[in-house]
Amino acid sequence: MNLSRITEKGTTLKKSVIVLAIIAGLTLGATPAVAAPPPDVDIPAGSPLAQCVDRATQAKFQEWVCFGGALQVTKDEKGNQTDHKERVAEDPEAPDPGKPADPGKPADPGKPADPGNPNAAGKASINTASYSISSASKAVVITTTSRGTSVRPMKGGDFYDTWCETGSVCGRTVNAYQAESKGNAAYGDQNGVIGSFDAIINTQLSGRQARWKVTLIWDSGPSLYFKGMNVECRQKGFWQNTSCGNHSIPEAIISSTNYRYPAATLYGNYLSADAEYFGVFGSMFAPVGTGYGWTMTPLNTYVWRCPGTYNCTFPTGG
Amino acid sequence: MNRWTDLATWQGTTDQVPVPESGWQQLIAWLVAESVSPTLVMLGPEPEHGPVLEYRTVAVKTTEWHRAFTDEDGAVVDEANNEYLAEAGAPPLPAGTAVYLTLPAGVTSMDEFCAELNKELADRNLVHPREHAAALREVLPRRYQRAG
Repeated sequence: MNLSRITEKGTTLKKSVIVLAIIAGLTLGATPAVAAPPPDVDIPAGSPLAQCVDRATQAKFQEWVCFGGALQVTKDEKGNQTDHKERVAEDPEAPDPGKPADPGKPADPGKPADPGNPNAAGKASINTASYSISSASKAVVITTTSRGTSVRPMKGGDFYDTWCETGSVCGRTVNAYQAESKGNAAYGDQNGVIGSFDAIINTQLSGRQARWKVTLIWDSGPSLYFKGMNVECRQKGFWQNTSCGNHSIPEAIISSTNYRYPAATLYGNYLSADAEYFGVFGSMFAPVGTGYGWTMTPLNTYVWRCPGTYNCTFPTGG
Repeated sequence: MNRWTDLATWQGTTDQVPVPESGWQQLIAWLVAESVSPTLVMLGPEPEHGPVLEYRTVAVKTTEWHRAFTDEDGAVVDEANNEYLAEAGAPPLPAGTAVYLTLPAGVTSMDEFCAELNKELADRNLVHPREHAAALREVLPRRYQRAG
């Protein structure tokens, strides 16, 4: 197997990857090798996510999450519980605000700058005869690393799964009444990256009420168990923000076979104040079957405004 | 009346205003047609879409920019609005169409009409779209009757 090590800009991810796109319908022998999936995190060197992961792995923090260019540590290098946050990344790809994007393409300013992606098909071979592909209608990616082998759906299927994949937080207000934010997260321990996932929050404004839909997408690593998920509505204040409602989401598991979890719609409260508001998605998560527990860095929605008794709207600037 | 396509086609007259692409506002129009009169609501072409605002945040730095509205954006909007309509018991709006509403006399814009309705519904603690629909069925006929 080709066990490559990414060392650019100090990245020390043990990332040995074989990517094989296998078209659906392959039904091969034995047991799916997803029991101990490896960290096949596609992290472009120099991206905000890579910068954050560098910092976490060099410090040998024992429980950490990189999200939106920020590092959140819940167990330090000595294994002590902590709530340490660092802003560690610069944005090497910030688009020129004066330059409109190609309207024909979905906006993805986070396109990797470095084409040296080690996940190139054909770099290594794999014995496909030992895998059973359960995804009957999708291409899949088989990845082998020092931690084992995993099978996952091939990325690039839809907008949610391809947009903003480099560790920043991205958002769009599609019109005055609907906006989405997405964050791409990697988490790990003192040995490096364990896995990664995406979180997306869609906000719809209905008169003086917000409603939310949260989607989780498994990207790599072991199956993930999410608990304590909630969206909190926050009203912006001069001195401090106040809560305008807290809305729970049931526990969920995402994995290589059930890689997307669309949570049920949440309905916010009537927003009576002439004020600005935003929503915050937060959660705890842990690889299934481990005692670890990570805290997700909160994902904020875009800020909306509810003037007088008029409808709440997002700024569109159009 | 069971479908949006049962409504008359908007002929470009200024007696009606386009209803913004919001599930809640489309529901108001549907309920006007259902509980006041179908002649007050028409179906027509979508007005031109404004640009989409995008942003990207890394650590504390946020960059914003605009881009043109795409078909993919349109699909996201339609899906969300039709879901809201479905939850309220209304049929989905056909893709590529917009709703045009005759406002009550004395009301000059959809924004103003919605502001009135928001005020009227403020104390009712409405959460689910079904609850909004029930309250609007009660409020809308009175509002149009008062105007008439």
